[in-house]
Amino acid sequence: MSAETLTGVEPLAVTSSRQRRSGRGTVRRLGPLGVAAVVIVGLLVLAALLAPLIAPYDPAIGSVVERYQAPGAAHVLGTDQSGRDLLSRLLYGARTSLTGAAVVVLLAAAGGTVLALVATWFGGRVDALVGRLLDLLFAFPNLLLAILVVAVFGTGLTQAAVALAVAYVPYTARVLRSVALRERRLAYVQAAELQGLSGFVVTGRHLLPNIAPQILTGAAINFGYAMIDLAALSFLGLGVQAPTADWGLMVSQGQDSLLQGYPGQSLLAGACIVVAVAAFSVIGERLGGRRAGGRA
Amino acid sequence: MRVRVTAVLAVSLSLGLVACSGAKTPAADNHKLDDLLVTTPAAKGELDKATWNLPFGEPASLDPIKAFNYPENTVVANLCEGLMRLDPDYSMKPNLAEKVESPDPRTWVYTLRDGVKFWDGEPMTADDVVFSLKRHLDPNEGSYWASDQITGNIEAIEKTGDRQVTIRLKKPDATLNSYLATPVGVVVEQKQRVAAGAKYGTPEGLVMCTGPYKVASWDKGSKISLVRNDGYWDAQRKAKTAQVDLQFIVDPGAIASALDTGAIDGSYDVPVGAVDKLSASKAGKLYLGKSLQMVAVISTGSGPLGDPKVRRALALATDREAIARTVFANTARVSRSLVPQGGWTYGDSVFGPAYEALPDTAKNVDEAKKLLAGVKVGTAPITIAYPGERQFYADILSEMSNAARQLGLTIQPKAVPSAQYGAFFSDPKAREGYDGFMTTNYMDIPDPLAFLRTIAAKGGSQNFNGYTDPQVESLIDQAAATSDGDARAKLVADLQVKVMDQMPWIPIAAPAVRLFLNKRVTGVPASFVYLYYPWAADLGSA
Repeated sequence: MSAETLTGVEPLAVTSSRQRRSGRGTVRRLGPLGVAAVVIVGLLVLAALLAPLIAPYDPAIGSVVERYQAPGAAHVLGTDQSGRDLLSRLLYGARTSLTGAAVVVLLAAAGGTVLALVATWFGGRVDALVGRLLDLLFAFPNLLLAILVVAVFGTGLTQAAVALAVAYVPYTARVLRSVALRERRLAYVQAAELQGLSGFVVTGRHLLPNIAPQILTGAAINFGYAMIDLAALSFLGLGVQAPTADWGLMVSQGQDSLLQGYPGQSLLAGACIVVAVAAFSVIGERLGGRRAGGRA
Repeated sequence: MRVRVTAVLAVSLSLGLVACSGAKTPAADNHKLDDLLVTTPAAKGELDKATWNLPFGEPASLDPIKAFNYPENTVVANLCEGLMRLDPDYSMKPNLAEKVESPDPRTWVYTLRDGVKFWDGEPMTADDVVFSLKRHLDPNEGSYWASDQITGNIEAIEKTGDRQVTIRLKKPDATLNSYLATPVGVVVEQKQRVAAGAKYGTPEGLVMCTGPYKVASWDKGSKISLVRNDGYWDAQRKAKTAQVDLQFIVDPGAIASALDTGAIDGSYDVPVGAVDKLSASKAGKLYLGKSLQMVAVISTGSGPLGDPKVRRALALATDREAIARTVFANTARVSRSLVPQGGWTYGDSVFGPAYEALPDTAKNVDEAKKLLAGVKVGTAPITIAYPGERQFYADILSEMSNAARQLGLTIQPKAVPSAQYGAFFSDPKAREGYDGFMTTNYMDIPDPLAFLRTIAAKGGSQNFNGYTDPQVESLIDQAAATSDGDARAKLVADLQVKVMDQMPWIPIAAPAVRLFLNKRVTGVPASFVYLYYPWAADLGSA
């Protein structure tokens, strides 16, 4: 939906339609690397969805008798220190790793957008208040805030994800606010306002669709960072709990094995994180560039 | 942004390189678990300086009565001495006392050694001894060694002569004398304790003792430097190394590298994960010593694990021998008892056969199923907590989970951050919601009575599941009142059978002492006496 169809103000059509994009345009913006990144993300999502069907073993069951088996016919990627199949753990690990990051990104995008729009629309004191609130959140390093929340509410993927979402809100809100502010000053918004449409309607129907690309690209970039931070929390033992399969946890649990000359677990899980994060970053970067509403 | 992505890719590339160069080390198969060492080859000469590591981190305090864990005890053992001394072969000898007598089972009379001086040159007096022992009875001093069974059983501590101190007990306790080799019997200078006030034991206040080493400096977060006490009372046992620097590296990888490169000369308790690497190290040698340590699952008394039959069935069905072989890299033995094999100073002719007579440790699922026949276990999972930072616990629980599944039970391991884990041993509220928790435990003194008493006696300091049995109580009391070694051992062996039948803790493995020494140093004990014995004084050139 674009603004001109509702307001009917002719000169504004140019302004607003610049936000519209065709499918072919998106592919062009992505470039070959971007398309590859989309394919990788697609594969990861498929792996996560189909894990129960394609994983050869139960990811949580193994015996120390079968620990550190080399990759082979029985275990394609070998086994970990508890004798569990690494391939199965990586496939199942995609589930927690992707879901956690998705929760963070969704919540952060929702929270950030609401704050940005409220600040933009009301301006003045409200804007200043929101600004100070964001400054306050900025002052806390993300992980520290997350550790604080986990310390109060206990360990677990949900707690960690919600805590990180809160930490991510200022990044999203700050960028979206500047984008929305620019949009707010455009004539079509002012025209809508003069026509007597309520603030809720104008922001919801006109401002929001026009900053949506920034929200999306920001979310893509944040997704990568959220994966890293969640992996870090799991690595510290504060996120996903053993014996659940999770990439961050696998990097952590592989430390002892690393020392014993079996780097497989940490490396494979680390590689999965790197690939996924890189793919999401590339997508976000290609789509939104510097104007993306995410962490920079 | 682009920079960050590039950085991420660069990291992944370097990780890949590490993978390519990750050489496998030979498996540790040359350890002699059947012939564990008591000590390392004696030192040939003196050393100017040696560097040692404390793998469990920096001590919180050097006050002997606050020394109740690996880091503190490993350091304090070289500084402060007890009236008795536990030697590497687990024999008990008079130390700051030159003679001990027990005219009746409730009375212990200690004649103090003449010529013992504190580091400042002041002579040790009977008043210092009485003051030091009484610190455990004073709630304001906050002794970690205060307990109902040991210090709580003391009726009076008195100076009964210029060089004589007498301890009177409320009821007989044959283990008291052995406890005087631990911080319970350590002597500090009264004058300095009083002067240091609240700073006592800290880097500012330090301590004043009689041991072969004194503290030269304590750089918080960095290292503690010990220097030789040249005025040490026993000329034969003066420290062979002039200065020992103690570092606090806790990361397993960093410890392994520091030892392998010779940056650190030695360490007790090297991480299990580093065993293979260090066995193959050209920098020095890994020694396996006679230990008093054991790893177990403690039942909190709740859930299916509250049923003794379930505990015994789980022990039977778990492949504990595989755990000892793999998780502990062949540096642990499966224990038939909660008392680690060889963990006694008396009654060897009784304890040895008694140990062999206990049910063996082979995995036997059929037997376990028979044991559970007719037992209603319900469907609730058995929640077992472990300190999340220690991977080997997760591996053990993973193996136990396999056993549980075969018995129709479910084990749910739950990682708890180490910082919160300590509360499991002191606060019943912390244990709520858990049916069991993992422990690496050790005997304070090599006396099975003292150890089993903490676990199975009513009000025992480690009785975490309300275990009570009138027969057990009676055996404990009888044994404590029996001074003859073999007679006491018979009673304790009976007690062991009863306790193992109920299995309030499920024994998993008894790890050996894992000691690494650079090839330039030697002499320290290999047995589990380094928490109370001045091990650093024996350290010298190889």
